[in-house]
Amino acid sequence: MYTYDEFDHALVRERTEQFRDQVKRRLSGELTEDAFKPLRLMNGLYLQLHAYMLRVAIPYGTFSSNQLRQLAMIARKYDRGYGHFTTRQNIQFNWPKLSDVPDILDDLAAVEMHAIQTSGNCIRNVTADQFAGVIADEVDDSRVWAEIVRQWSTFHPEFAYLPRKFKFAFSASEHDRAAVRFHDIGVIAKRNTEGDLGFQIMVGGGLGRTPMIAKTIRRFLPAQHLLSYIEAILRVYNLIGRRDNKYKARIKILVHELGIDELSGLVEAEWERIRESDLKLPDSEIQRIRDQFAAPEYEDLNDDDPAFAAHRFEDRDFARWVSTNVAPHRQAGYAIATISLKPEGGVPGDVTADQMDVLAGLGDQYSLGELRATHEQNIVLPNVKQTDLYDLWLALKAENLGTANLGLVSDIIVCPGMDYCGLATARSIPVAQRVSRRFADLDRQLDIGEMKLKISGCINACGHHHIGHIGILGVDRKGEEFYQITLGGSAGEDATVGSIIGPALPSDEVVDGFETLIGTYLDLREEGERFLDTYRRVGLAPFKAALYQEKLHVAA
Amino acid sequence: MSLLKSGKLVDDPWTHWPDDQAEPPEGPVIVTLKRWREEKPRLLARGTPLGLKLSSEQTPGEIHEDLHHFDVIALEFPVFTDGRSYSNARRLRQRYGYEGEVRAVGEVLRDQYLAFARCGFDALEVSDDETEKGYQAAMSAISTPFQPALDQAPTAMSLRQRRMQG
Amino acid sequence: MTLQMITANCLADGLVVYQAADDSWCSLIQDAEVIEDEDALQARLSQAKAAEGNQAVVGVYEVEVTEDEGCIRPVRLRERIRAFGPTSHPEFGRGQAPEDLSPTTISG
Repeated sequence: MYTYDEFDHALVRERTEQFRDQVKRRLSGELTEDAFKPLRLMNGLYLQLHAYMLRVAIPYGTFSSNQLRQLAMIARKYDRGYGHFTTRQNIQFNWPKLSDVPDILDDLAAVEMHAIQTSGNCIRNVTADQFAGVIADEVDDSRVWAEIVRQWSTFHPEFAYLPRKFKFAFSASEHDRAAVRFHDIGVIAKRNTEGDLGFQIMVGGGLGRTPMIAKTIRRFLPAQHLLSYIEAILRVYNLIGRRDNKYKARIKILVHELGIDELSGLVEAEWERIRESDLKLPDSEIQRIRDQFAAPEYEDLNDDDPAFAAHRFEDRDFARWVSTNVAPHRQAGYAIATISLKPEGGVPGDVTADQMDVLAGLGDQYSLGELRATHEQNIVLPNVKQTDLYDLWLALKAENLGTANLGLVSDIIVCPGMDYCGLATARSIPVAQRVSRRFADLDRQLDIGEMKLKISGCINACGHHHIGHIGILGVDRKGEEFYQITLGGSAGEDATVGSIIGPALPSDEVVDGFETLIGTYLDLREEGERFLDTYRRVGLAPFKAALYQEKLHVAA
Repeated sequence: MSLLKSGKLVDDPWTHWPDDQAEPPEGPVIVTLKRWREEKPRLLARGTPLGLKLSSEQTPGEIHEDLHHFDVIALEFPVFTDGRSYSNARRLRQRYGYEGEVRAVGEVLRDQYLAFARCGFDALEVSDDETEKGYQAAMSAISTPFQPALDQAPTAMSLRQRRMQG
Repeated sequence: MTLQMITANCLADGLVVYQAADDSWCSLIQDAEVIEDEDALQARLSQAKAAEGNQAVVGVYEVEVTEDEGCIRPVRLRERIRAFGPTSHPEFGRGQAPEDLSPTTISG
C-alpha cells in the first residue's frame, strides 16, 4: 500500500499545525463559528446531535494493521471505545472533544492518516473497489489511480469552495464493486484494442434527494490525461454549478439541466487548453505510484488446500462462512475474506477498540498486515492463505466478527440516522437491528439469498437506500417516525434507482412489512432467482398488493 | 480596508466607484462590469488608469477583448465559501494571459491567502487589523503543494521526479 | 405559551447542554430552567447568545418541552434523543429516558 515520503508527511503535519492554530483561535474567540465551521469541516469535524464527530479518511478503503491499532488507541483515549465504518470507506468517531482533535490528528499523522477533506464543499475521500489488487477480474489496480487523484485533490487551491461536495469512485472491472455510477465522477479503468490503459469517465451520479445514474462523458481517456481531464471537469463545475440552492448544487444537477453533450463540450474546450500542462502524468510518476501497490511476497501455493477442504467438510458453520464471506484470490492458494460487521442485533459498521486490536493482529498474522474497508460497512482481509481460513474464522467468531451473512438480509447498510445525525428525520439503526433480529436464522437468510437492504434516516440518503434491492427511508409524519420502502435498486454495473412502493409505514409496522415483501418474493421466485431478479421479472405490483392489502394504518 | 500586495501592506492607489454614485472618485478607479458596459467611452476618455470588478457570477470571458484596458481586475468573493473566482483568476491568467494586478475583494480571510496566491491573485483587500506577519504565517501553511497551480512552488510530483532522475 | 428550555452544545467538548436558571450550563435536562412566557424566553435567549460570544457554547436555540409528574420531556423526538442519548447505544444514555426511548421498546 502507499507509504508516505517526506512530502506526504509534511503535508499532513502542516495541516495538523494549521488546524491546531485554527482551534486555538476558535476557542479564544478570534475566529467566529461562521468563519471556523468551513475550516473544521475541511478537517472532517462535524458537530452533531450529541457531540462532535470526526471522520477519518481511509483512502480507497486500504489500511494497515498498524493504522488499525492506532485507531483503537484513539477510540480508547479520546472517544468512547469504538469507531464506525461508513458507506464511503471512512471511519468515524462520534465523541471527540474539539480541544482534543489537534492531538488526535497528530496521532493519526503518526500512522500516515488524516481527516483532510472528509467533509465540506471540496473533493472528498476517493473510494475504490475493495478487492483492488487481489481480484482476478480487474484490468489494473484501481488504487493506483485513486491515489494519484487523491494527491492531486489534496488542498487543491481552486476547488476548496465548490458549489457542493464532490465524490470520486474507481473501478477496474466490468463488475462494479465501488458503485461508480452513483458518484460525481466515476472512473472505470479499461484497455483499448491496442491494449493501452485508459478510463471511461462518468459524471453526475448521485443519491440524496434526486438519485441519478452517472452519464459517460468520455468513453476512453488515455491514462496520462486523467488529472488534466478531471481538472477541466472540476473547473467547469466550480464556475457554473448552481449555488442558489444547496439541494440542487451537485454536478448531477448540472448534467441534468445542461445535458451531457453541452457539458462535455465545455469540458473538452477547457481540457484542450490544459492537457499538455504539468497535469499530464509522466510514465515515471505512474510507475512510481504503481510500485507502491506491487503485489506482496506471496508464497507459491496450490489452490484447494486439503486442510481447508477438510475443515469445510467437517464444520458446516465454517463451510457456510466460506461460501458467503470468502471470495477467490487471483493468487493460487490464497483467498479474500470479508469480515461482517453486522452481528445479530448489532449496530452495522460499529467496531469496538478491542475488536480493532484483534483485527489488527489477525491482519498481521493472516493478511500480510493489510485490510480494506468496504462501502457496505464491512472489512476485508485481502491476502489470506486458504490454509489459514479456518483458524482465522475461529478467531473472528470469538470476537463476534464471524457472522456468515455477507450479501444476505442481515448484512444491512445503514446511516447513523436520528440517533446521531442532526440532519435525520427518523432513526435508522433500530430498524436495522430489528430486521437483523427478525431474520437471525442463517439458514433462512441463505434460503432468501442475496438481499441488499439499505436504510437511510433522511432524504440525504447516506444509507444509500435508493440503490438497495430493498431500501428503507425514514421520514417524519407529524412528529412520528414513518418508513418509506423502495424496491429494485442496484449499485453495480446494472445500476438502478429503486422505485417507491407506496405510502410510508409506521415504525411498528415496517419490519412486518419488510417480512411480507420477502415472503412475496419467496412465493413468486423461479429457480435460481435472487430477490432482484424476481422483482425485475414481476415488477412492483405483486409486492405492493401483498404489502398494503393487509395494512390497517396507512400514513397520509 | 487595507491592501496586501504580494504580501506587503501598501497604500491602495485604487478606489472603487460604486454603481450608485454618479460622479467618479479622484484618481484611478475600479468600476463594475455594469458601469463599463454602459459608460465605456466616457471611462476611457478620462485618461486615468482603470480597474474592473467582476462579481462571482461574471467571468473574464465576457470581456476578454477589453482586458488590456485594465491595470487591475478585482474578483469578488461575496462570501468566502463562494469559490468561483478562484477559477476566474486562473482563467484570467492562463486562458487570457492577463498580466495586470488580480485582486481579491469581499470576504477575504487569512485562511485562504495561500489559495489566492496559487490561483493567480497578487493583491488582497483585507481588514485593517491584518498584518504582514499574519500573511506570512498563512502563506507558509503548506510547504510543498500536491498539484500544479499558478505559483512558482514546485509540486511534490516534480520534486519526486527530479530526485528519481538523480 | 408552551414550556421552553434553552439548549446548545458545549464548544470545547461538543456535548449537549441546557441553560440553568443561574446562567450555568448543565448536561441533564432535568436540572435546567423551564421558561414559561415569551418575554422570559427572549431574555434567556439573549443571555445564552452572550455565552456563545464568550466561547462557552455553540448553536443556541430553544426546545419545547412538557412536564409530566416532574419529569421534563422534549416534545420532538430529535430533542428527546438529544436529551437522553442515542437509542442505538443505551450505554451512552443520560438521565431518566422516557418509555418510548428505552431499549426495551426496540423489539423485533
